[in-house]
Amino acid sequence: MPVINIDLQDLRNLIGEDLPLETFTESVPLLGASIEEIEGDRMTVEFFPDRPDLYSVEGVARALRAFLGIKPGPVDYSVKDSGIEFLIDASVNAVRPYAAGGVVRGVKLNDNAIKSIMEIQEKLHITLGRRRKKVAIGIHDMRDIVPPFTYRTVRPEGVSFVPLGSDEEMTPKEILERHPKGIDYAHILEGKEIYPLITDSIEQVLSFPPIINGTLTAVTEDTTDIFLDVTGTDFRAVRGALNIVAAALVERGGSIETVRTVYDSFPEGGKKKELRQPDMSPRKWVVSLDYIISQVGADAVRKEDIIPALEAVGMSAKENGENIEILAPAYRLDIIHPIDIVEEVAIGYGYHRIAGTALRAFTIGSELAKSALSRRIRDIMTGYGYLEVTTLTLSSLEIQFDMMRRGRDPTYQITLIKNPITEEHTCLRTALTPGLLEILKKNRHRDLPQRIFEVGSIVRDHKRILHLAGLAIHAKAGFTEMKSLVLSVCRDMGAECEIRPTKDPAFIRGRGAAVVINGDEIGTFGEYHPEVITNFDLSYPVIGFEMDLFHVQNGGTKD
Amino acid sequence: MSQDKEDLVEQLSPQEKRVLAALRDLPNGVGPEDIVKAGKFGSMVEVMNALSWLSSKNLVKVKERNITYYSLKKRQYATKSLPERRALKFLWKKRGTATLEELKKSGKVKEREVPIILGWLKRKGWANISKEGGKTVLNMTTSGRDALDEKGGDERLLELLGAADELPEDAITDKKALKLLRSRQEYIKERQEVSREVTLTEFGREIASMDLRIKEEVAQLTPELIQTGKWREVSLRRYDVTAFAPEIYGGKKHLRSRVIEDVKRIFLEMGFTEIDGEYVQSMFWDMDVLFIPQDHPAREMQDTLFLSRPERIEIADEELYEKVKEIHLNGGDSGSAGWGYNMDHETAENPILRTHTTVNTIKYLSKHTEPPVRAFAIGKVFRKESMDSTHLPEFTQIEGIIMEKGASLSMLIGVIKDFYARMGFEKIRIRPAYFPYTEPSIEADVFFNGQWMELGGAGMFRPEVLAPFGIEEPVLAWGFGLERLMMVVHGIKDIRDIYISDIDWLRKSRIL
Repeated sequence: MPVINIDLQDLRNLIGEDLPLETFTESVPLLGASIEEIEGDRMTVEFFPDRPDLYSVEGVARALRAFLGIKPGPVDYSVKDSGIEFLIDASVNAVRPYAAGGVVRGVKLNDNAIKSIMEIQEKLHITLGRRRKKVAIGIHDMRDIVPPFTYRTVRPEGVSFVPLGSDEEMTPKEILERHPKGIDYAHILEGKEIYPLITDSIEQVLSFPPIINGTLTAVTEDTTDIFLDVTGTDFRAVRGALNIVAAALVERGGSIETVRTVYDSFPEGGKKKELRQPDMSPRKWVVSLDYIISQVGADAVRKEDIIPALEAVGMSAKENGENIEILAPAYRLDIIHPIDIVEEVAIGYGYHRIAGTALRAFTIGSELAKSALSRRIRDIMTGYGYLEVTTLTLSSLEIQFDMMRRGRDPTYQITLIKNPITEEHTCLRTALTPGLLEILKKNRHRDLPQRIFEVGSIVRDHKRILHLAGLAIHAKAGFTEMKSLVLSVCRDMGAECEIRPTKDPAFIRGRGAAVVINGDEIGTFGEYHPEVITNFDLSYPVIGFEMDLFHVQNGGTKD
Repeated sequence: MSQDKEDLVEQLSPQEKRVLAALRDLPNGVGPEDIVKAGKFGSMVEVMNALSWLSSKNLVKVKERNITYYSLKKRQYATKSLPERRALKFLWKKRGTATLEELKKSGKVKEREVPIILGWLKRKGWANISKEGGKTVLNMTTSGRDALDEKGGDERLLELLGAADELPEDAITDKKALKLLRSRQEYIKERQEVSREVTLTEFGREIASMDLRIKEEVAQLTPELIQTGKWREVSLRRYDVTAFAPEIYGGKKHLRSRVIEDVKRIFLEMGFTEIDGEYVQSMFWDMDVLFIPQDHPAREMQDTLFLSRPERIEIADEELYEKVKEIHLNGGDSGSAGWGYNMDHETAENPILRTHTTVNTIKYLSKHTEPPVRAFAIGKVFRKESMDSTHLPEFTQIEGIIMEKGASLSMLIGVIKDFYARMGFEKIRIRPAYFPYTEPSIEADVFFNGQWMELGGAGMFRPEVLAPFGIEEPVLAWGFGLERLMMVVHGIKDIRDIYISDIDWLRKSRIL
């Protein structure tokens, strides 16, 4: 989840009040975030992924102003027309179809503000922008560029300009090959024959989205007027990102002006389309009072709590008969259903003020038969002095088959991981014993005898099967000890079993046996082959058994 | 008290018992040598040792004092007269008067004895000594005459010493005689010795009156001793109960199983039904159904374990797929705006290892659409995480859900407070949170060991999740990670210790 660094002094200045630290430590969590660290004047806060509007000190300042009652309700964004056009060429539809532009004038930027703007851009790129694939944002100083601006495409070597972080002119192809940002994000444009580009009316390059901007429009402390471009693959996200950045710049003294974004051929429908962006008008929701109260809980909120609660989260609301009409700010991308308004009411009211109410319905609890069986098996095995272990389900073919001297082509399907993290976790276990042998390996230096068991799921044909396995290691471990145990366990489970020789190569020839219940072979036991023992770096005789418990249960009880 | 006495008797050594038995029949104040004799001991050392133990137990009192013993330097002194007596007898023969010359010549005395004789005759007043015409003349006195018939105290003492070999100072009543003899260097010698007088204390007498028979000492109580009743005749050796004994390690359930059993009991007490399901799931059920958009970061290859076998999982219910797709696009009939994109069928069929138990919860809900429903799951879930001290690629999720008429956020807060209180966390803090398939969402912190600890999430299922199944009542859900709870509550520093356990840790782990 995104972590935002906040300079507390900057935050106080933006809020406009000299608030003590405690106010922040108390209210920020109630807003829906967790404070990771406070060090001097720096506060590190983790915000939830549904609230990209809070990914900046500007956004946090705006939210706290409302939440703390300093200025409840929404911010008024009176938006003028800039008269500037942003032309979207039809060719971008093949690479990165959506774009939106906006202008913010009169911004006062200091060092903190520039850092914050870079941070909000980066956080939005990672989250909402899905690492720039879905959305990329460009922030440009307008001083040296001439509108109208054009979003179009260019061949990989069809233009050259000086990108940020470089002092030489480079073509888009060179940027993707050599520039650090180009290398990081080249995969987004992989396989494309043309690349997106934003230029002004005199062919100066503003940006090569979603990779990098030109140095021409780099923002400095002297910047006052800003052109925002947002490009991407999802129009809703593009528009939302533009609103969030524009609203943040208002906190830095700017005023928003719209840009006429003209699509040659809008992707949906393929027709010419004209939009005025950013569209800062609030979104209207009409939600029934009953719905809000019943979802939060009638014991917790009353009708009259609702409007102040919504104002505390920066919304405006008024009653209209049975309903309540809510205006949600344009930067609140997370409000997509009336239930989201319900949560806003709960947050604005304060989660900590909701005491909670008891369950009312009558129900009877019950345990899964499989759980009850596992529990009883544990009692049986601990009764025989076996120590329970619990091992990971993730394993590898090498451990499950090769080290056990068993073939990799069993009669069932093995579940294989497509993107394993390590060579040790490439499949799901098909037996418990290999994991138990690994436990013995880890405990080579511990006193013998060691007797361990596990009850757990193995996976064959992609289905879970409950297994029981036990191992003993000591100098005198032999077949009879294990046979006695297996027969005793079967007796305790009420299963009548028959013992037959087995050819399982994990055991010494003639010292392994199969357990058969009702004609089905449900498991094996015996003395492990010295090769198996040494494969797991052990140096004492190891005996063990493993069996399928569902068969035991079915064969043994008339449940 | 009587038990104490019996214990005391039993703890006495055979020597101590024998000494006590001897003392029982001897008068107070006897010496150790008497005990040696009466108890037929082989040596004084045995008795002395036993006495010192008995004395430390306050059973006997041993009084010690120094005694001087006197004896003759030469045996003949007992029979041979003192020189002054021989001189007295000579005078008597000479009718009471003789010169020194005569005495010397008489042969009764030796030359070197003459000065001694003169001195003692004078001192005892037996004769007057005078010079007459150049000669030394001895004249017997009246007391000299008397002394002829009666021996002096010193002489009697010499006889006494001669008869007794040696006498302690107490046995000599004539202290004057002793003084006389001691002043004459050649007759008696003396020796100092510590004398001990042994007396039973009152308590000692009580103990001595008990059964002091000495039993055979036995270490192991054998079946034979029990069966023959011989155990009554033997003494079972007492052990030093503080001596070292090795620990034993029996079979034990793993801590993880024990914690799961505890949690399960709470759910069952609260009327919840246990559910579980497969590890291998389609993305459709694991994520699409839960309204997680297909381009959500959590769905990427770096967070989820995808499978190469099975290659895909067919969506059995195409009608459901269409409903879910509609909801992702525009909210369908759920009242939502949706995510505004078209779901990809192939992506939905991607096989993965379940990333949460919620996939089983929603499958259960899809078949139980009418309230009331209370279900819980405790199961392994998988994430693409590298193993380190705080991360595992598979861990155990605990999840509870409630579908109930009139359920609300407030009821969810009520139930998680109740649940965590049953787990022993009395203080709970509720904060807003975010999960893709719940709204409102909650983070619950519990107060443990003096600080707030993030424990688990909760929320109400989004209407977009419930709509395809026609579920209209709110569904409350909460969950937490088992291993994290175990780490905090049981002080486990490395999460890997739970699954790759040290046998010694398991052997020594606490059950209570």
